Amino acid sequence: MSPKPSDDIGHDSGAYVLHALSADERARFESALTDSEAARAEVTELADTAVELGLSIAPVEPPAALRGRILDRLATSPQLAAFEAPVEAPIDGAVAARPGSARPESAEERARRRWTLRPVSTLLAAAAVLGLLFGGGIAVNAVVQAQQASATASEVSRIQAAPDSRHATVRVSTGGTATLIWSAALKRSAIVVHGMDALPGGKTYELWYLDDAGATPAGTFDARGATQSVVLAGAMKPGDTVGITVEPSGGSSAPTTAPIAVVATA
Amino acid sequence: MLALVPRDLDGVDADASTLSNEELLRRVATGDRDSFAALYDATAPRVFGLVKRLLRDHAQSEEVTQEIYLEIWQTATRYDPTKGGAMAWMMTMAHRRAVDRVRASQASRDRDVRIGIRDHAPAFDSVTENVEVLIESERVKAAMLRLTELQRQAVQLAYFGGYSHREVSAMLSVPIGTVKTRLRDGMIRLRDELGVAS
Repeated sequence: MSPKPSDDIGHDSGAYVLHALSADERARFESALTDSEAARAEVTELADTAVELGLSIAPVEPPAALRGRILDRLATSPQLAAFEAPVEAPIDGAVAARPGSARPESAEERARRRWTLRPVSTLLAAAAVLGLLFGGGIAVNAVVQAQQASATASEVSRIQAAPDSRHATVRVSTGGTATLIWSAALKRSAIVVHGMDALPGGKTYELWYLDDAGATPAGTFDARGATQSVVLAGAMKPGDTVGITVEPSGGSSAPTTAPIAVVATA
Repeated sequence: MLALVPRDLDGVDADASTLSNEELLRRVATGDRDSFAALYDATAPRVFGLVKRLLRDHAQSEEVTQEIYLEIWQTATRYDPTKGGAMAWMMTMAHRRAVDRVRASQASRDRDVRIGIRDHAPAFDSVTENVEVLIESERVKAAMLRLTELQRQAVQLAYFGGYSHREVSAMLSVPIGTVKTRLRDGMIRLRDELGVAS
């Protein structure tokens, strides 16, 4: 831990606050930040300086209609009240579909993951201020979790902001509601579940894209907190139906139980 | 969370337009849509002005502004007033989002940059030649003029143009390492000129 951010990464602070780094460089810089208080202090000041640049731009009144459009979307925009779990599925549905490779997660891993949730929420508060990660000595695991949670929120709002974004809410047969938000143009969807029961150990909720050919796994989630949003893994095809089933931990390659919620997008 | 009623509105219910952005954001975090509307009214011209500066395109600027405000709504619970002002939090988010959108058309821009700076000249000029027009604040304008030419060009291209350091490097014909150093030195100089301290 050097008193001054004098290594190569240290020179990135200006580019970092100006959002001029590539994604890889940004990730490297942020992980280096956790080791250097001096670098964090510098970044905080330079980020505030960048804000001064932003505030020096002449304000432009946005079109009046934009306000209404944004306010209309609040009802279907879940707020991140608590830490939210990222989707625990591989991007490539084919991998999940292969029997025996369904990412078994040990009880220990599960416990460890849960254990990291609390520190992460503290971290998120700090990270949100400048869009960077403060807090030296934070477990790498926690940093990754925070980035994924933030990615989920940002992906959900991207889907909602798509010009062709639509949503539909259905009841979950075991209690609670599920709202699917989707954009055919983006081929993406996210589900916001509210009031769903926590499952007993060894079980998980699994999401599916359903079409005439059958069911494609789209990720698993555990009900955690009152409201939770999950971005579905894989690509949505026009007319796909989204279903939720209860499956053994780790998920199944094909549904083994009847769906507890089904949302049609056609 | 949406079901939660803001706690301390009892009786007092101040006119939302008189509240600070920080207080509005705190109420937004409890699911208060009126406060969100008030926050939007208080800040949208700043956010939209910034986004439009980077994106130019009006329709895209509207889309990105919408994304930004939905993100503000969704992540207000993470805002920590002890770490900085609400406006700084939102402007930082806005700049990142606008740059993300600029990057979304990265492939075509990479091609432009490879073709050469000459073909890029119009965009380059419109960004760098206009310190006078670009920057409304006299204080910031004066601070910018204290930078070296290379520092100023690099900072302007990165912040107001949304260009990556790689693109800035191609446009100014200097090595990437030099661009990074100029960006850092330039921002440090600006920080000192503007008296920004945390």
